[in-house]
Amino acid sequence: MKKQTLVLASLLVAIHTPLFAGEQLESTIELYQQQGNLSFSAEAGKALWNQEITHKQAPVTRSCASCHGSDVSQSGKHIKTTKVIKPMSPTINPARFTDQAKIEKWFVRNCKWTWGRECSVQEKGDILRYLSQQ
Amino acid sequence: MGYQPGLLPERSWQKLMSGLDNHFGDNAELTAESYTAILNYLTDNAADKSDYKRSRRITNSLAADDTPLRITDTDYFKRKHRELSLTAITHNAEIGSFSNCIACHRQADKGSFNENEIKIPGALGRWD
Repeated sequence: MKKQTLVLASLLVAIHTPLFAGEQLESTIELYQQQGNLSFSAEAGKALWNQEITHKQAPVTRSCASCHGSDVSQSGKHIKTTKVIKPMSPTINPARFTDQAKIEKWFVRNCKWTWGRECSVQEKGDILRYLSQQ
Repeated sequence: MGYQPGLLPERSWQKLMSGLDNHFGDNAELTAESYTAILNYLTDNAADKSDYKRSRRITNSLAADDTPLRITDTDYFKRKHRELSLTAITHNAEIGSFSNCIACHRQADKGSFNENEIKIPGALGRWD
């Protein structure tokens, strides 16, 4: 009985303890890999991060880096709202990438705002692989 | 801080929530689940459904066909802030904009906008 309770307790702890940044990030990357038998590269991710897209409305030039910065160990500043954005580096900011739903929510918002379309699974995987190493 | 639902009428929240892909120039789209929960919360507690005095005053300051998306566009808001110059607010680096309630209304995040809680950063200080 005691042992059962203990197993149950540790199970509950496992469910309710948020994953470490690295764990959730790796499991998201794995999920993307499985979605299309894909492989990801940090180099491709870095290129995507800095890729500039031209818009008709201001701000006319947008990239991931224009708000998050090229050095993701530093805070960024949103070029439209001027809000400060905490560092994207999971090493510097361990709160990053600990929630799958949040990752998806921000990919939808930011891909559409920055690139004018949703990102492909390949692009999301490359970007996360790049960020995971920062 | 999040703006309380009692600061705009139901029709404003509905209009605002129908354009989240261009939310004041940014994209604020939500998953279907969050969208429904937030829309319901906003419309259930909107200014025109609230007994809170400022909610009633906001509602009363609007014409029936007036559907502002910004709290700062309501006549009640404008009337309450007309003594403040642009220099005092918009050009004050610690405030930046009239949309930054909590910069001066120090209990705004708790939905309290009492006059004696106002402290304007910089030269003006307390608002008496």
